[in-house]
Amino acid sequence: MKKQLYMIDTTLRDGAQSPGISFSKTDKIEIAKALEKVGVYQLEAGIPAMGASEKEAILAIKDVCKKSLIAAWNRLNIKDIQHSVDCSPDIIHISVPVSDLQVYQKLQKDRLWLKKEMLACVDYALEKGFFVTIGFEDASRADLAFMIEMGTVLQELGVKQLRFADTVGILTPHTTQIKVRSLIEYTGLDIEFHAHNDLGMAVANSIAAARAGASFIDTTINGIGERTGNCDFYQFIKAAHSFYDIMTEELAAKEMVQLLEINLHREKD
Amino acid sequence: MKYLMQLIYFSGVRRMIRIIDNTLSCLDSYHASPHDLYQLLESLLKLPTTYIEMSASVYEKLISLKTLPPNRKYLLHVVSAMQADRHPGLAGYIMPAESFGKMGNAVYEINFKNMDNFVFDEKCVQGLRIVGFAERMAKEIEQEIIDILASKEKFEFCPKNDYFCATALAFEWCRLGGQKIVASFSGIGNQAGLEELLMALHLENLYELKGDLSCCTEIKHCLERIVGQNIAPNKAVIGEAIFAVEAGIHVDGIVKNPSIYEPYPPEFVGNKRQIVMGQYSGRNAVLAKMKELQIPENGVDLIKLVELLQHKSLVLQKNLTDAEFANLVRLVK
Repeated sequence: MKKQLYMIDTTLRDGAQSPGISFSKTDKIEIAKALEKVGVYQLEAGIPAMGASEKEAILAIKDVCKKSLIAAWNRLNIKDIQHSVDCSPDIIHISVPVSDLQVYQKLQKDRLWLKKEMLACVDYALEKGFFVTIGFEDASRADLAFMIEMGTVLQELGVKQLRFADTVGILTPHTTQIKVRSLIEYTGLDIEFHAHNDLGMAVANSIAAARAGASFIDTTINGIGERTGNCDFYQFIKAAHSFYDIMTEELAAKEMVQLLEINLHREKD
Repeated sequence: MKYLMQLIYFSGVRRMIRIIDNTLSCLDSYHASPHDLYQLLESLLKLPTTYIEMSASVYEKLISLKTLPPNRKYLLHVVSAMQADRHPGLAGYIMPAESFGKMGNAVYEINFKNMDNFVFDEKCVQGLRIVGFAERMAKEIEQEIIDILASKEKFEFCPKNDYFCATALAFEWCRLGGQKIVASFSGIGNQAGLEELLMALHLENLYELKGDLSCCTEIKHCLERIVGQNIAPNKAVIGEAIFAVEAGIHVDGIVKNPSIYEPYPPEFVGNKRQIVMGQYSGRNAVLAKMKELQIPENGVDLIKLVELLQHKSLVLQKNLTDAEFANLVRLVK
């Protein structure tokens, strides 16, 4: 029996952040429809906190998509989550920077603050009746023991799905396996793996994560995304479909990618 | 606990790795000029590799210009003993070994010491090359590599990229003790990317780079000339646009400390950071750009500017050039 993997697409969020990519509302709806057609489990539709036009797009996507779960991405603050609530997404995803570099230098806070803030945000979203997933940002450079501690707290709150983000793309298959496996073993959470391609290993690391027990894999169309991009959707399906029960077919994926070529041309300066 | 111990044990111990750069074995279909090939060779020599491998056809073109730069080991990729006969004096001769059959989807090539003797024995053979394993990433690849290396044969590995895992396979081979690994610049020839492998080995502290990888820009231009096509702007390590950043959250982090969002500094690979103005640029990104363009902050309504920027890039469906952005700033003064 092949293990089941659930595909999570972040073309409309991480992909959209890619310099040179600019999606109109129509583009986003077309992309969302195509992704749903191919059987993607979850679509990260955008960041409501960005403003009215972003929210409009997310609401429009919610309107046309009836099978794929629609997720809204949030930074670690209540205001962002309030904007998400306005869009009534199926999932509220809260990004929690978890490496010391991110916490101490980017946020200029500390671990204690982080834990309290995470609890407050999760509580708020859960109380509003939403399904919450958490993303450990820069997890690949974070202290494993600290992630296990935070993960355990989440598990106790009833959060089930945790994104492990290799935000700077420095993992290799072996380090991916160790970290993902440890998190699963010590927290019992379902892991969603989010790769970046800075070492040309996004696909390989995503496969390693699946082998280590991750159930969800984040990808984008054509691998667009920050810097070298995310794990490429079609490449991952091609590489993994004979070994896993993925909810999309290789042929369907290829067809869809061709359909979306026109929307995703990178800008040439 | 066991996993944490593994993590400690396997990292950060410099390995005895010999890298074979076979970029020049992958260019026969491009009909490159001897001059372009020689330029490429000279720039490839700047990378910390042990062997440069080339096809017989490329070798003949190069030596028609002048002798190869000294103080390097050159391998010749040949298809027959006759081809090798014409070019004595090189460090090794790589020949396909069809009679060996296949290992799953992988084929074998043999690395012969010299062209006097193509007998498969200890004295004549300096390596047995496995070419392929593209599909192995999803299987028990770690154990497979360990078993192959335990056999004590002189194995070389040239992973193929049919399933986009060649660089990872190459890295795993090196991490687990493989001493000879074959890769090509930009992964040309459906292989592991040499620059990706070097960067990964460097970041994991398994290999000494003796400098940085800034020569990659020069190599890239030489190769693009020969291939007649630009390397993808988002290609790992060498893509032109991989340090372009737009999203406010990322720009904010980078301004505070670049290593927050960069795996390696742009300068390390001969590139430069670019702050790009678009839909996702926030207040801090806009400020950083104004500072870069030396546009004074005072009197500028930042909130209005960000709004206008979002709107304009949505309407234009692209990022704004520096000139377009400067115009926008004038509108909100």
